[in-house]
Formats: sequence, structure tokens, C-alpha cells
Amino acid sequence: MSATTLAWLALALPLAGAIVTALGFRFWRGRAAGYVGTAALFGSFACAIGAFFALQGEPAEGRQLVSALWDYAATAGLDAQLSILVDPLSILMLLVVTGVSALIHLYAVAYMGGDRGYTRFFSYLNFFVFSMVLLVLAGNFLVLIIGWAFVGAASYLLISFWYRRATATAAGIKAFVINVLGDVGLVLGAYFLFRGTGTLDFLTTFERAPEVFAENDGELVAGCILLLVGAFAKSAQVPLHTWLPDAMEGPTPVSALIHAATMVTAGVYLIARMHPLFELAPTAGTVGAIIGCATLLIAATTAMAQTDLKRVIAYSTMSQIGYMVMAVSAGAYVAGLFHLVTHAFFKALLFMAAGSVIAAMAGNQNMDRMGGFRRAMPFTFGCFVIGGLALAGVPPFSGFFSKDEILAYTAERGGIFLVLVLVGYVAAFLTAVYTFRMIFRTFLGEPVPEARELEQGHLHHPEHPTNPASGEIEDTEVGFPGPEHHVAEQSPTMKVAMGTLALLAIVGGFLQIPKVTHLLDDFLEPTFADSIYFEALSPSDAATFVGLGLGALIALAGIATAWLVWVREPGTPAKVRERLRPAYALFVNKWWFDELIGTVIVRPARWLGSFALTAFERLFVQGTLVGGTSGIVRAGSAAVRAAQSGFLRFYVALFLGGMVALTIWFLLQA
Amino acid sequence: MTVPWLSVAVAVPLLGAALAALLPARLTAAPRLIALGCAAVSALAVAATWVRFDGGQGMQLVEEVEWIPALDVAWRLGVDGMSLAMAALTVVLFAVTIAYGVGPRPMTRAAAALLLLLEAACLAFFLAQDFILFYVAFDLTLVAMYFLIALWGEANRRYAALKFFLYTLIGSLPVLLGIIALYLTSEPNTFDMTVLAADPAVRGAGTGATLIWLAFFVGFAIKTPIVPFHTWLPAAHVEAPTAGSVLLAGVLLKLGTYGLVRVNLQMLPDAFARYALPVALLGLVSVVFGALVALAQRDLKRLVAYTSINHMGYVVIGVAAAAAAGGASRAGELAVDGAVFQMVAHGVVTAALFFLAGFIASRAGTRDLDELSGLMRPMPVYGTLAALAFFASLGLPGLAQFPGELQIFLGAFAVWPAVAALAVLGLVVSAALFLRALQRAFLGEPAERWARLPDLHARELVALVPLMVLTVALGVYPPLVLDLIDSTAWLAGAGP
Repeated sequence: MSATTLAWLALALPLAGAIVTALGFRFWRGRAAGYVGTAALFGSFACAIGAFFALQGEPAEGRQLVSALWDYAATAGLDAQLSILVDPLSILMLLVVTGVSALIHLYAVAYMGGDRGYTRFFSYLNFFVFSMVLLVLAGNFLVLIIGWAFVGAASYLLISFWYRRATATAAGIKAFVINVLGDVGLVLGAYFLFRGTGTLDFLTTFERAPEVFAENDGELVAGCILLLVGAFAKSAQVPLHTWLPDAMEGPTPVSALIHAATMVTAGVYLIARMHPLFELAPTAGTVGAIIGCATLLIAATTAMAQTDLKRVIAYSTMSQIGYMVMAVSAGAYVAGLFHLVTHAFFKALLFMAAGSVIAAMAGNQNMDRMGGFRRAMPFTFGCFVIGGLALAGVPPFSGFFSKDEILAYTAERGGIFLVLVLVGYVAAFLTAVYTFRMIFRTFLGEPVPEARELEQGHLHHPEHPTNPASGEIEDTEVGFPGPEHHVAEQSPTMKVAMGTLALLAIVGGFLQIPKVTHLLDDFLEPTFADSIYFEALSPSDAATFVGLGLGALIALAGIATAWLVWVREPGTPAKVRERLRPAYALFVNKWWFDELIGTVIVRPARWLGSFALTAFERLFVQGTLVGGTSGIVRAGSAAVRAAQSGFLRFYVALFLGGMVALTIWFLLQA
Repeated sequence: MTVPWLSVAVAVPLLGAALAALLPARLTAAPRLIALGCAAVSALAVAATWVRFDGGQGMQLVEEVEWIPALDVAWRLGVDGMSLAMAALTVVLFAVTIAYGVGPRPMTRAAAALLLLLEAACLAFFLAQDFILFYVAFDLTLVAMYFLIALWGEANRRYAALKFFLYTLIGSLPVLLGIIALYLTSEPNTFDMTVLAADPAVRGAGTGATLIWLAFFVGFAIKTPIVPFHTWLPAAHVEAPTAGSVLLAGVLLKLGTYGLVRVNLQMLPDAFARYALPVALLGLVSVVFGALVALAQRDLKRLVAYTSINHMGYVVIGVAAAAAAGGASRAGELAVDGAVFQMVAHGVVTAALFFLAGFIASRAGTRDLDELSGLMRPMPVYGTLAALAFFASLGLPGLAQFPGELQIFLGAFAVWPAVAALAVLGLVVSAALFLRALQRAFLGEPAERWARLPDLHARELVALVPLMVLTVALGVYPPLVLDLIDSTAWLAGAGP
């Protein structure tokens, strides 16, 4: 089969899975829906692998295949087909998305086993993967916009999955509204480009852009910055990031899949996909790099002060995506995408391990309540440590190579980018600290009662399930988390999924060992062959080795610091907090972004709504402006009533009389 | 002999209305059966027309019977892409509404007669190629809807019905004046709309042309409605019975925008081009204002009513952009194609939303979003369909309203980027307001008194499911209707 056929199949299978599980929701028993959904994903992954080999079979210059299904809104010569573009970049994304999704589905088969919304969960999850595959395979702006919005909608459905929890539904709304704002950015960006190029097709756009737009042309820069708005909203970059931590209200497999491995990397993919435009508009690229850098620092500092286990990982995700955005905006495309791949492995792994701990805590995510799970959960502990080492950037784990490549290649741009790289190194230290803070607080120390119970082989289940965020008592019916929880130690499928990812988190970095292997470089070359940075950015041997050494040292120093502060001298955090009170306040309050957005945007919008309703609608329009017509209404009705003729008879008489009069008049005229 | 399908489509409901009104009262099942039968025949006649429609431009399948030859008044019906699309929307919405009934109670003779009369009038309006017929149909819809609201509406129905009636009556008088003016300026004098559209008699944008254009615009703006002529709409919707709201939003609002395209754009292109920007700004105000006020609503029906103002604002922007760019230009054609598609899509989606609002009101006795809660649990089917309709209404891709909005914005962006950009931002408010409504009424914990509400029953599903299927179909495969719409010759001598 051709690469495009296989890609269409990879797209169709998750959709089929979503529809089949949804239609059979009264009929599926036990874990059937989970296995159906997972099978669809493994099938999709197999197709992705097939597409990979089919594409590699093409000559290098022919590795950009476009295939269209039908005209979508193709009037007035608009080239709005449902079309996909199969090239190395989209196949790389396709492999990551379907591969990691398949593993996370496998994990969820057991993890969600106790939930009454089991079938619905897999239907949503399959729909999400379909949307994400649509997004990465999009061959034009139309399909990109469709996939982009679908991903946001699927994310909303899954964040609000426990729909009877007020905190979950509020988080869902926040995520969706910010994502729609991003959609609007993307759509407007596409309009700007369309105005110039007259096409929606990616390849044609790239072809025409240099003819239509001069370098740093105002419209092009505006269009690219609007595309960035879309990328920032989806990839949780400041200031559009506040939805991501709240999204941790969703079930943990959702956090692993959507809010770590796939959806949030869409922005990185978008910038890489649009690289011919960003290279024509370097100003926009610089903006992207600066925002990415700001995000990676803000998120890393915030992660230091959070106590919710999943939120720490969420801020870490934000921070790592900041690195990727910075890299692809600076032109270090392969480095950014490399980190995207390794991050998908180790971050999904971290979330899965965290999910296992949270299950052992019967849903509680608060690290203050955790501790000493090392002996009760050795497998989970091992996975968490592997993921943590990769995230912290300890050699030879995968994150070490990819993060190093980002910093080394971005530094090659020189100038302001050197400052950004410096910030990147500072945040790398913080990354190691907060990662191991998480590990030490959760797994070391005195075992909490839940850990002791689990050591006896008994999983703790509270008498009254409560919402960990609000403390409200919940039941275990549909719409709330189920009555039973599942930890990796007791579930072979979870172990398989986590074990596979752990392996990938260890060896994933070997794809691109500096000066040794360059598998990704070679594979992605056809996509970036026209790039001005692809060949130009290449660090010297000396810079490479200094970078590698520095990265390793920083990671180890971070871990050592975490060990000193949280294991050796457990009283230190309180003292540091005391000493650095303003900084701590800033970090624990997440840099006050929620409050800022609430004051600047949300409240004014609501106020404007009620103003429009009360003042404008009631007083101005109905009172002053339409007061006249209301008066006419009253006078007219009074006149009609006075005529005692009944309103309709009066009208019909008027109507007929008028017609007759007109007819006579016309006849006279004629 | 060829069957005059268009005349059949209009005449059968009209005769059915008379028959239903004259029935003996003891045949209680008969009114519903007659109404269903006539709606079905009408739908078949439109379907037959669609089959015979050759996809070419211009008016075709014209059926003409002389009426007042001296004035060149005739029973002229014909279709082009836009007419056929609107007629198809009309027969579908009437079929599902009649299948459901006026409200929860069985259909009476009067209700059947009025619904059929309204259907005949709407079809005559969309198919009319003669201005006198066009005007008579325009006014007849008014009468029928007045009675639907006044007889079966809620507590304050008389006031709302009267307000609706007087407002739109005031709107229809300038339309009549405009028609006479067009008749007098045409050479030779004619009421034949095909002639007037093919070769506009009024060129330029002088005082005369402006006045004629303005007369039509005011009439259609009230019907659409465009802010600030909208105040009758929320009142009418809140008091109207479910069937009334469905038809009012689904079909009757489109009379206004259809007229805007058919008359203002096609017959007065120069004047419209001159005043396109102010019209687009009014459309933008409708978009923003409708969304913001909807955000502040507690009553589900009122909320949907204001989102209608918002969505019709997009249509107005599209038509205005076409007028500014010229329907023959690419941007103009995109914008007006999108606007007409949006009319169809909005009809389907909003009809579903008003059904949904009616269904919950008939169960819970309230539509107050603050009182309702957790409905997803006792009524999962209802909740799921409502979520789907909400997502369609907020413009989610893959559902009905997306393709039209995409085309409108692509077209309008080429003409006035700022207007289009601000209008697109309205989508963010739409998203927020629909999700908030979903959260308040459907998600969370059901209050004790809602915990036993029954889910949708068969009659309600019969009305709702076809609309939801269309919502998905139009979003996934827009050419279904878009090809038809695209075949319309928007401006004389201009091809697609």
C-alpha cells in the first residue's frame, strides 16, 4: 500500500474505534470497550509504521505526498479539500502520536477499570487520537483548523470526564475557551496568509510566500504571530498556559496522553511545519523563542512550589515545551522535534507512574500526604526514577541528549539567543531539583498509612470517596471516579505499557548522539531541505562537548541539591521559604497569572455582558431608541382595540384595501 | 406532461390548511394526519425539483400563470440554487415540526391549518419570482406566526405576538414601497423578479436608488433581525410555543437575509456597494452584542434567541462583504456562498436548540439555567444531543455552522480585515456562553427534583434526530448543499 493510503488508515482506525465504542455503549460488558479502543490504536500504529517504510521507499525529493478525499468548501476556486500531507515530519508525529497513544490506551484498560464511564472514556480517547492524527497529517489550513479545534473539543470532553465534579467542569471550560482563543489566532493567521497567497494548501503557500511577501513583510509577520497565538494556546505557553495545570482534573491517562505527550506539542509541530514562513518572518521567530524561554523559566520556578503531584508534572510539561518552542522558533527544528519525541516517552511514563501512586492514595494527588512508597511500589518507583532521570537530563537517559541539542543549536544563532540559552541552563538546574523533590517526597521517607497497607498487599479504599480538590463527598456512580483503583504493581497491562515507555525513555536519546548518530537529522532532511538554518546551525566539536559536560553537571548538581534539601536536611525548605518569602509567594501563586487574566479579561467580559443586557438592552435600546416604536406599538394596539374590529380583521381589511387601491392606481397608470 | 412541482409544493399545504380548518371537530386524529401528509407531499415536490435542477445558473423550472396581465403580475415560481436550498430547509423544518406538534398537546384543527398556511407562505416567498406574490407571502407569514404565538404561547403571549406583528408589519410597509418603486423604474414596468435581477433597472447610488435600497433594507433588517431592530425577537421567542420558536428562528429569520441577497444585493448592487461598510458594521454589532447579551442570560430560550442575533450577524457581514467586493469577485462569491450556507446551517442547528429548550421546559417547567442542574445524569440522551447542538452552534468544525462561517470570514477578511477579525473574536464568547450553559444545566449534580426526569421519548426523537443527522452531514460533507448554493448567479452576468 502507498504511504498515503496507510496514513488515511492510521487516521480512520481511531475514528472507527470512537464510533464503534460509542454506538455499543449499552452493549459492551466489562473491559471490552477498552480492548476495542486499544486494538484500534495498535492497528493505527501499525499503519503508521507501514507508512514510514513506504515513505522511506520513495526517493528523497519525492517524500512529500499529498492526497485528498473530497472538496470541503471549494467554491469560488477555493482549494479547500480534505487533504493530507505525508512527509517525514508528519510521519514522525504520526509515529509518536499513535505509538504513545497505543501504550496509554493499554495502561488505561486497567487503570480506568473501576470507572462507570469506562466505555465513554475510550470513545473520547479514541476520538482524541483521531483529532490529533488529523492535526498532524493536515495538508492544508482547512484540515489543520479542523484538527486543531477537534483536539480542543476532545480535551474538553476528557478534562470534564468526571462531569459531576464542579472543579472538573470548570477546568474543562477554561481549557476550551483558551483553546478557542488559540483557534481564533490560528484561523486569523491563516486568513492573513490566504489574503496574500490565495491558497490554503501548505505546499502551495510555502511556494508562493517568497513571491508575495518580502522578508519581514508586515502582513506575513502578523500572520505568523497569529499562528503563534494558536500554538501558544495549545502548547500552554505564557500567557495562555493557565488551563494546563487545571486540566489535571482529568483522569491520569488523559494527562499522560493529551497534556504531556501529544496535544500540547501541537504548537511545536505547527512552528516546525510552518518553518518556511517563519524563516521569511524572522521577527515572528524571535518572538516565539522569547515566549518559549519565558515559559520554561516561569513554569520551572512554579513547579518548585507546587504540592499537587500531577500539577508539578504539568508545570514541568509546560517548561519542557518551552524548550521545544524556543528551539523550533530559533531554527533548531530537529533538536526541538527530538525533544518532543523523548519528552513524549519520559513524560507519559512519569504521568503513568504518578497515576499509579495516586491510585494507591485512592485519588489523592497532594504530595504533602504522600511518602515512603518505595517499598510498597518498587516497579512504579523504578519507572518514576527512570522518567525523572530522563527529565532531569542525566546521561545517558533520553532527555539528556535532546535538551543538550536544543541548547547547543539555539546558542549557534548568537546574539539574544545566547541569553535565552543561559536561561535554559538555569531552568535545567531547576528541572532536576523539582523532579527529584517529587521523587524524594513521594517515595522516600516514612511510609504513609496507604503505603503500609499496600505493603501488606492491600490497596487502600476510603469509606467515603471525596473530591481531593474540594473535600466534598462523592459517590462512585457514573460521573465520578469509580469505586476501585488500580496500581501498576497489580496489573500486567499497566506494567507492559510503563515498561515499554521506560525502555524508550532510556534509549530514545540514542537517535541523536552528538557527532555519533544522526538518525533524526537524516530522516527529517526532506522536510527541512529548503531551510536556511538546517545546514547552517551546527555547533563546533568544542562547543558540543562543553555543552554535554555542562548539561550533565547541572543535572547532577540539581539532584544533589534536592537530596540535600529534602532528604538530608528536611527542615531546609521551611527555612528557605521564610528567607525568600516574596519569591516563594510568586511561585506558589503561579506568578498570579490566573488573577491577572481574571481581572483583565474574564471579569470585564462578564461585566460587558451584563452591561449590554441591563444598561444597553433594557435602557437604551428598549427605552430610548425603541421607545418610539414601543409607543407606536401601544398606540397602534390602542387604536385597534378602540376600533373594536378585532386586530386581524382590521389588518386583513387594511391589507386588502391597500391591494385594491394599488391595483386601481396601477390600472389607471397603465 | 411535466408536473408543476413548485406549484404543488406551495398549493398542497395551502389546500391542506383549508381542509384542516373545515374538518368536523370530532375527527381528533385527522388534523395531525393531514398536516403530516401535506408536509410530506411538499417535501417530495421540493425533492423532485432538486432532482430536475440542472445545477446551472439563473432561474429555472419557472412556472408562470398570468394573473393581472395589465400589470404584468403573475403566479411565477422558479428556482435557482439559493431558492432551492432555502425551500429544502423549509420543508425539512416544517416536516419535523409538524411531526412533533405545536407543543406537548395533540394538534388541533387550528394548529394544523396555521402550520400549513405558514409553510405555504414561506415556500411561496422563497420560490416567488413575482414581486406581488413575494410580498403577499411575506405578509402571510406574519399573520400565521402571529396566531401561533398568540394562541399557543406562554403567559405574556398577547403582548409578544402584538409586538412581533407590529414590528414586522412596520418592516413590511417599506418593502411594499420599494417594490412599487422598482416596478415604476423598470422599463417596461414589471414585477417579474427574474427580469429585475438579471438586468437591474436601478443603477448607481443616487438619491432615488439609495431610498429604494433603504426601504428594502429596513424591512429585511427588522426581519433578520439586525441590532438595533431586534427587540421583538427575544420577546417573541420566549413567549412562543416550541413549534413557533423553531420555525421563527429556523425559517422566518431567513426571510430577511434572503431578501437582502435577492433584492438588495441582486437588484440594487450599486447602492449596496456604497452602503456595504455601514451594513457590515451593523452586522458586527449584532455579532458582538448578541454574544455578550447571550452570555448574561439565565433563560435557555432567551440565550438561544440572542445567539441567533449573533449568528445572523455573520450572515449580514457575509452579504455586505459580497456587496462591497462584488458578487463576481472571488472574495464576494466566497462571502455570499458562505452567508447562504450559514442561513441553512443556522436554520437546522437553531431549530434543534429550540426543540431542546422546549423539551426541557415541558418536563421541568423551567428553562432557567440556574435552577436546572445535572441533567446529564437522568437524561443522558437529551444531554448528549444538547451538547452536540451546542458545539454545532459555537461553530465547531465538522458540524454544520463551520463551513459557512469559514467562507464568510475568508471572503470578508479580504474586504475588511478588521471587521472580520473582530467578528471572529465573537466565537470565543460563543464558546464560553455555550459551555457555561452546558455546565450549569447539564453537568454537576442533579437537584433532587430533577433526578427522576424522563429522557426523550419517541415523538421528540423523531423531531430532533433528523436535525442532528443533518447537522453532522452538513459539517462533514458541505457540498451536499454548498454546490447547490454555489450554482447561484449572484450578480447579473457574473458566473461562479
